[in-house]
Parts: sequence; structure tokens; C-alpha cells
Amino acid sequence: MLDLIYAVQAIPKLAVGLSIAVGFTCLALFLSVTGGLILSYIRSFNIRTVNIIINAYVTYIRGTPLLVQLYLVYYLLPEIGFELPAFVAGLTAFVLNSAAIMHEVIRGGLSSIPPGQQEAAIAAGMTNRAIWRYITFPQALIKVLPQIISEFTILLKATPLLAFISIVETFRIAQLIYSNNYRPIEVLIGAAIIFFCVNFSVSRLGIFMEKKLAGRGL
Amino acid sequence: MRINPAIKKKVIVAAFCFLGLAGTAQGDTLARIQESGVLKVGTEAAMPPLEFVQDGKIVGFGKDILDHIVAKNKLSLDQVNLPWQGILPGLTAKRFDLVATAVTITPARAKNFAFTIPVAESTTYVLKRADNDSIKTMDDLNGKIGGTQIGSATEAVLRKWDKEQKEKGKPGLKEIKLYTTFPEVYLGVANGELDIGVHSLTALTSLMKNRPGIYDLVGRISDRSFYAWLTRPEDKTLRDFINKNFEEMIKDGKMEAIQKKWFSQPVDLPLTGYLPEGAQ
Amino acid sequence: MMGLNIDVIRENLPLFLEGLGVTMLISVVAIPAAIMLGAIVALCRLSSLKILRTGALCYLEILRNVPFMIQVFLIYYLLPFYGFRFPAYVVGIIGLSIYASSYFSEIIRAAILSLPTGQLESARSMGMSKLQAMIHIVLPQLPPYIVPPFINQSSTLIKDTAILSTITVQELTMATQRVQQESYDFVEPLVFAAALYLAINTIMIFTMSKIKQAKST
Repeated sequence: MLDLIYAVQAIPKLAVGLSIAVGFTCLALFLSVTGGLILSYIRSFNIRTVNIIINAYVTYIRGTPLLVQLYLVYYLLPEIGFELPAFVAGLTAFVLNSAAIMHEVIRGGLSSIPPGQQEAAIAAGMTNRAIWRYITFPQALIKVLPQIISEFTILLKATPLLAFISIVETFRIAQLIYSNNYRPIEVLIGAAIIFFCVNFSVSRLGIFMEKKLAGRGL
Repeated sequence: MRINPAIKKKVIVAAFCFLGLAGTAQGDTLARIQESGVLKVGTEAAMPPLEFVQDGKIVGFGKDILDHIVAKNKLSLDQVNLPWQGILPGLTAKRFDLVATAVTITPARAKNFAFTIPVAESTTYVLKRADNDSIKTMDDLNGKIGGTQIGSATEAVLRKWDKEQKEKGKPGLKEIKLYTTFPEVYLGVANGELDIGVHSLTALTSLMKNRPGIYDLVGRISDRSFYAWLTRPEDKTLRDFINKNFEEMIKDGKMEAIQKKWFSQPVDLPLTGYLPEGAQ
Repeated sequence: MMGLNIDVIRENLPLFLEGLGVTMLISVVAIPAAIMLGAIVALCRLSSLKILRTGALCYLEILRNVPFMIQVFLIYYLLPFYGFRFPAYVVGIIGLSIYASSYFSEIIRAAILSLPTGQLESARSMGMSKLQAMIHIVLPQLPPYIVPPFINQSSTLIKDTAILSTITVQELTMATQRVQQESYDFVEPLVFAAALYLAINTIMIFTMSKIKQAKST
């Protein structure tokens, strides 16, 4: 007999795990957007060799499961000398994965700005920095913000994988709870509920922000 | 650029000396541990009463032994709790220097790692749900679904038994399911996903004490085998150091006291002859 | 970096290929299942009946906000509870089909909405019900709009099979872990597995784009 009281009892402990996961995701997202910006910037130089390397990296990220990428960082990096604690290994794998996606998103956002605006700005005498700050960046940000918010939910949903490289997050806590009370269904329902609440709220927030910013669009 | 040959020679000699020193400093893990004062240990705290988690802390037979060793040698303990899959890879990747968790001594493992003196017996037994009347003898296991932890010695035991049955012309196990943790195996037996699970008598006894009435034992499925701790194969000095501590604890009765605390009785374990051929 | 041990891969090749086979089997069954389920959900979302629209929306929101791994573990524990004893890979197919259907349904819905509306109305004025019009007129026209996103989603689905290793499905990632544990070589099997996943992905994308080309000529 399913007894949802077990779900309710598990939620406080699960919420602790989820807050760890949310913190992890925020950090990973911040680093990956930064990484994506850096990659886009490097790409804009159009150096053939560099572009080939970046393409190979993106192909690897898009062609292999995140779980495998995670294991690779966890096991491979120590072999070549980087002894990272599990948390850092997990963060690295997530950031490497997300940055590849983010850089394509950013490139898309940047290329969607009509070049005419930038030409007009140059003609009007604006410096490159000013053009970036007042014309390019704001419009690109509005364009990519929905995708960044969506990437937040994607990363958060991937955090259970971290349990398999010994990081204590929501799923691992769920496992520990149900190994003790033999109620996997109820405990996992509890975990599903809190993930749902967070992700649903974040998506709604994203839609809300999108509408508000679209109103301000140039 | 022309470098003065005399200076060049001195630089090369200095470089070699430096590398030599660096090499020795790196080379002996035990020396490094004694110098830094920290013993980094990897444990899978998932097997009561040997090592398990209670109130967020690692406790158990193994923990008490560790505490004794570090106190005696004026070291501090840095212990991580990882899933089994991370234990041996983690040791190889130098995330820690000692695996202080019950690892079954197998010939393959003994070739790749340096085992200590045994800490407990790991002879494998079969677990079933208490109300499962279709399994009374070991022979009844044929045609049933068995499960155990992936990569554990018990997986090899199960597969070996299955192979032996098939060689005798019997159907063997219907399926072998592999889980990442033993609690999932126990859960599987309890809710019927699995007909049987396998683990050491030590672990199963503890399980049945904590969860009375759900399970029952069927019988022994492996030869006598032992759990021990282990180090990387090149760290034999560290392994010998741990062995020396174990032997001292056996001599002064401390080992028996800890055994009585966790197993309710002293356990007779071999001090020799427990390592298979070709062991480190 | 230490020398790469190719032998461990060679000796364990059967195990890898078995895992690869299971990955492919699951993908080949789950992709069409997810597409069909997704089409049904998309039609529900566009239905005139509020209850279907709301039901579909709930279905989608739940599946897209809960981690796949949690979904699949829940299904893994729920099925035996209601008496269904399936092997793990069947549970995997079910879980993956349901999860992926939520993404396929959005692709289909977006494609339907991007078609000119006139057709639906003229079909209805000829006496077809909305459902008949959808099935016979609208859906067949979708392919050009949906093939590229379908390819992407299918590629994601194949990668998501790796998560099934956590519910004991003996697919490629689980096979890799077995090789790691038995050989005590932790890196080479992973690298090989990554190469295999890349290979499947590349082949699949290549094949699908060839199909797309063939269809559009």
C-alpha cells in the first residue's frame, strides 16, 4: 500500500539535497555562460585550427551522454595529473557540457542582431565597447535569456547523475532514505515533487521575464 | 645561445638531484602520510556492521579500527564515503591512499592491489524473501532471478555458480540483475523483483537482525573467502604498516574487543595463507 | 599520460557489443513509440475538449520538470508494485518513450501550428471531423518541418539510454562499468564507450539526413 506520509517525511531532507543541487546548477550555469562567451569570442577571430578544435569539442559534447562525460572527467583527469575532488570534477563535466551548448546559443543570439544597427552606430561615432554595451549585448541577452533559463532546468534535472560520482545531492539522499525505510516509491515521489516545484517556477519566471523584456525590445 | 659548459653540467646535476628527491618524496606513500600527518581513506559505508552511516557519520567495526590506528600513530583521518564503483578507481587515481572498506580477496584483485590481513569473513550466502516457499534448497535457485551489486566479488560468485549449474546440464539462473548498491538488492528481494540476492554472511546476518521477519537464508554459495583492506600495489610499505597495526591490536586484545562490540563474538581470522597465488 | 591499454578493449569486445546492441534495441523501439505517443499528446493539446487540453498540459509539465532518472526509477519500482514483472530493458523502453514523447509532442504541435490554417477549415467543410482532418491532411504534411528537430531529439534519446544503466539495464554504459570493474582499467573502456556513442550518433544523423534528402527529391 502506498503511503504518502513517507513522501512528506522525506521532503525536508530531500530539500537540503535540492538546495545543494540548485547551488551547484547556478554556479555551473554562470561558468558555462562565461565559457560560452569566451568561446564565441575566440570563434570570432576565425582562426581555422582553433575553430576545428572547438568543433571537435562540440561534436564530442553533443555526441556522447552526459553520464559518460561525467565519468570521463572523474576517472580520466586524475590520470593526467589533475586530482580534483568529486565536486570539482562534476562541476567541470557539467560546465564543459553546458558551455558547448551555450556558445552555440550565444552565437545564434549575436548573429540575429541586424548588422545595420552596428554600422549605423559606427557611422554615428560610437566606440566598439559602447556598441557592445548599448546595442549588441542587451539585444543578444534578451534573445538568449529564455534559453539560459531553460538550460538552468536542464542542468538541475541532470544533477541526480552526480550521485554516481559520490556527490551527495537530492537523489543520493533519496536512496539513503529509502534504503532505510524500504519505501522507494514514496520517497522518489517526494523528490519528483520538489524538483517539479523548482523547475516549474523557474520556467514560469523565464516566461514572465521574456514577456517583460520583449516589451522593452529595440 | 651558448651556455657555459661548466654551469650547464651543474644545472643538470642539480636537476637530477631535485628529481631524485622529488621522486623519493612522491614514491613512498607511507612516508608522505607520516610527514603530512593525514591518512586519506576511501570507504563504502554501506555494509553494517563493518562500515555504515548513522546520524550522518561513518561508524562500524572498520571505523573503530581506523580510529585506533590513527590515534596510536598520531595521524588524522580524512575519510570519504563513496559508492563501490568509485572505491577501486579512486584508489588507483590517488584520491586516497587506503581503502578501508570490506573488499573480498579475489585472485584478480590480489594481482592488482596489495591486500592487508583479513578483517572479516566474506563467504557468500544466498538471501530470499521469508515467504518464498519455492526456494528451499540451493538447487531451487535454478530458473530464478538473482541480483547483486555490480562489480562486487559476489557478482563473480553468482556468475560462477550459474556457469557450474549450466555445465551440469541445469538451466542456471533465469537472469542476473546488477544494482549499484546492496540496499537496492535487498529492496529487490523484499518487493519480489528478485527471487534471491547474495552477500556475505556477515552482511546478511546484520540485515536480518535489522529487518526481522522479511528475509531468510537459503545456503552457502561460495568457498570460504575473506574481506580485507587494500592499498595500491606499489604502496607495500603502507600495507605492511597497516598489517603491523592489526597484529598489535590482535596481540593486545583490542581487536577482540572491537569484534565483540560489533559481531557479538570474537572472530577467528587467518594471519597467513589468505592471499591467492600471484598476489602483491 | 600512461600508455593506453588496447588489450582490455579487445578482450572485452563481446561485452561492449552486447551493451551496444541493447542500446540500439532500446533506441529503435523507443523512438517510434515516443513519436506516436507524442503525436497523440500534441493532438490532445490542440483538441477542442478542455479536458484533453488540460490533461496533455499536465502530462507535459510533469515529464519536463522532473529529472528523467527519477522518472525511470519511479517506473522501475512502480511496475512490480502493480504486478508487472518486466525485465529492466522493457522498463527502460517504457520510461524513455514516455519521457521523450513530451519533447516530440512539442515539435509536432509547433509544426502543426505553423501550417496554413485554411486546410483544416476546408477539410472540415467537406464533412471531416477535426480528428480525421488532422490525421489525413495535416500530419502527412509535417515531415519537412519536423525531420531536423526529430533527428536532434532522437539523438538525445539515444544518449539518454545511458541513464538506464542506473536501473540495471545492461546497455553500453553498464557494459563499460562491468569491464572497468573486472579489468581494473578505468579509463580505456570509457574512452571506447564514448567513441561508440559518437559513432552511433554520427551514423544515425547521417542516415536520417539521407532519408530526408531522399524524401524531399
